[in-house]
Amino acid sequence: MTFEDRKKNYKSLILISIVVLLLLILSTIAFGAANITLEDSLNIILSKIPILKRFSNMQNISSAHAAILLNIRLPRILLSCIVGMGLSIVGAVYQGIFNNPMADPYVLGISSGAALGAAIAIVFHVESMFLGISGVAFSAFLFSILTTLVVYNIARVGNKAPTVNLLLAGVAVSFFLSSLISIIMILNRNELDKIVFWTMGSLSAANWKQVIFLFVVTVPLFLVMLFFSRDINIILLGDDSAKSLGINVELVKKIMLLISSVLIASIVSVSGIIGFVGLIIPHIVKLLIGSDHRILIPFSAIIGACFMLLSDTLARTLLAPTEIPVGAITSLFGAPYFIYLLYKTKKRVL
Amino acid sequence: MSMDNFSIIKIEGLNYSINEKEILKDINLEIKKGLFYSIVGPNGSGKTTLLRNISRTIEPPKNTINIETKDILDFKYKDFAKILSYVPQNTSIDLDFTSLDVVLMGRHPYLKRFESEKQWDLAVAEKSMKMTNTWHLKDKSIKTLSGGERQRVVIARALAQESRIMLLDEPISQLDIHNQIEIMDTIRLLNKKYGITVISVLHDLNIAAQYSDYLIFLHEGQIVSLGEPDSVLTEETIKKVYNLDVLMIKNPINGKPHLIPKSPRYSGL
Repeated sequence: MTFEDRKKNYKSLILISIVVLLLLILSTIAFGAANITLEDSLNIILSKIPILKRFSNMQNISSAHAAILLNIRLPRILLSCIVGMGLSIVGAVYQGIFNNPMADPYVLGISSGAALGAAIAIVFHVESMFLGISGVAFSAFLFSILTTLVVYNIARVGNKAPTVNLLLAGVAVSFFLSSLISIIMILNRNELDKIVFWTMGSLSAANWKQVIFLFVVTVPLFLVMLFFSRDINIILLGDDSAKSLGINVELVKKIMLLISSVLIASIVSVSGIIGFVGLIIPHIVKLLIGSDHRILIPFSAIIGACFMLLSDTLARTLLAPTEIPVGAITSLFGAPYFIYLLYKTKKRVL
Repeated sequence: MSMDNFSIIKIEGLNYSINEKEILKDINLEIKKGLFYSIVGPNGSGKTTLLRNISRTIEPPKNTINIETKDILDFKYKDFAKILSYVPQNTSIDLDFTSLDVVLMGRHPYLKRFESEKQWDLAVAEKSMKMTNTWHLKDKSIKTLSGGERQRVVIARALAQESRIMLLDEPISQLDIHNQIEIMDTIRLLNKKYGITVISVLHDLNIAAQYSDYLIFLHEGQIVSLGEPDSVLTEETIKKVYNLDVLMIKNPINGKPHLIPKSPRYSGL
């Protein structure tokens, strides 16, 4: 396949996957505890879109169904897409700038920072809202950012933060914070469920405010990452090579660390800690299309959104009305597929 | 050697320390345009550190290294990459990029953000790959190439930068003898035919003597000898620097100096 052919292929691949995502969104709308048909669902959505609403037919549709669809299901579906997208692109970027296949969005200790923040807020019953965000979420966000700053400063040598230092500092701080969380949980047994549920990740409390908040954070940061995707490609060749090709390696890494941290802190504050997605989706995409971040990042975003949407749909429908933590679903279905892919490529290489 | 060999790089009073340890001591050096220089010397003599200072992959002190009379620290990163390219040591790449992708990265200094490679960049990449005999590998993944092929692709990437100066850090250290000669021939060709000034760190003194116009002999962070291979490679210098007795002969093919180590322990065998 020639160079131009491949480029065209990527474009059509991305278009196809966007269509798949849209179809998934439309089809998952009809799944859930309340029995709303696909036709009704589409009518309800159409009725809310300014120009298209005259095509909708709202007769025979109960207002309860409309409310469930618009205020519970739709925000949750959109939120899961954005969360999956955010986790996956940060995973892709981290694996790139750290040049480490085991890097995931939580590698700098953000997950334990967020969990500690949430646990403290839960224990102290911080009920107040801040800019429309719950106290727990806000505290989780704050602690995530603090944790990243601490990790970065532990790892820093002069003006640089060498990768090995960052990863080790991330692991160490993570363990330290996790032990604090354990102590908090033991001392507050009556809040145990809440904290545990939060650390397993869930989108069950999704609302439009969260959707809008995450959308506003994610889309611009996604574009910034795309903006730097060629730089990340070249950094993969090694810091020296990248410098000699005219890239300010330290600056690019700092910018990527900063925006990734903000993005992940925002996601975690909304959804709790959802594991696996950020680690695995970039790898799956890499196995499919190679290492070029100009394609890897957008493709990870779309595939991550699809994967998260499917996982969350299963989480809310499989044992309905009981919710399964979505983090359990992501690993349950993602891990075997990943092992299959690994097995397949291993055979190809040998 | 042509007559217009004015100096393109000028190093004055370069000292460099890592963790209080002096690696380079008062290096003064003029590199003339269009010539082939090899930096030689024992392990730990500061060869790579000198090369990395010139390539700015580590930052030299202010006003110590000038390229065409401008302090290299005053160049913008991308502008510098248009003047000087660098082939680092150990270029094992475990990535799923095609060779052409890797060579096209050499065009980065010429591209704006969000601008993708144009027809011209592809043409430069093609030319670079043909010059290094790698065009037939263009669609192969870099991680499937042999050591020699990969090194040639990395040199093609440096060529795609269209720079006047090319630095190479031990370009042949991990290659078999066939590939060593092929790579050195390629570099020499680029130097002679296209006038690229070459500075290469080399371990093999005989290869360095065959291919270089000048040798820069480093020992304990200082230049102990600098000049044409004949004048630099002497039995005395090698005894002093490597603590090794050698026999210097003339290479029967090209008359360049060639050394044969006298192994002290088995000298009677």
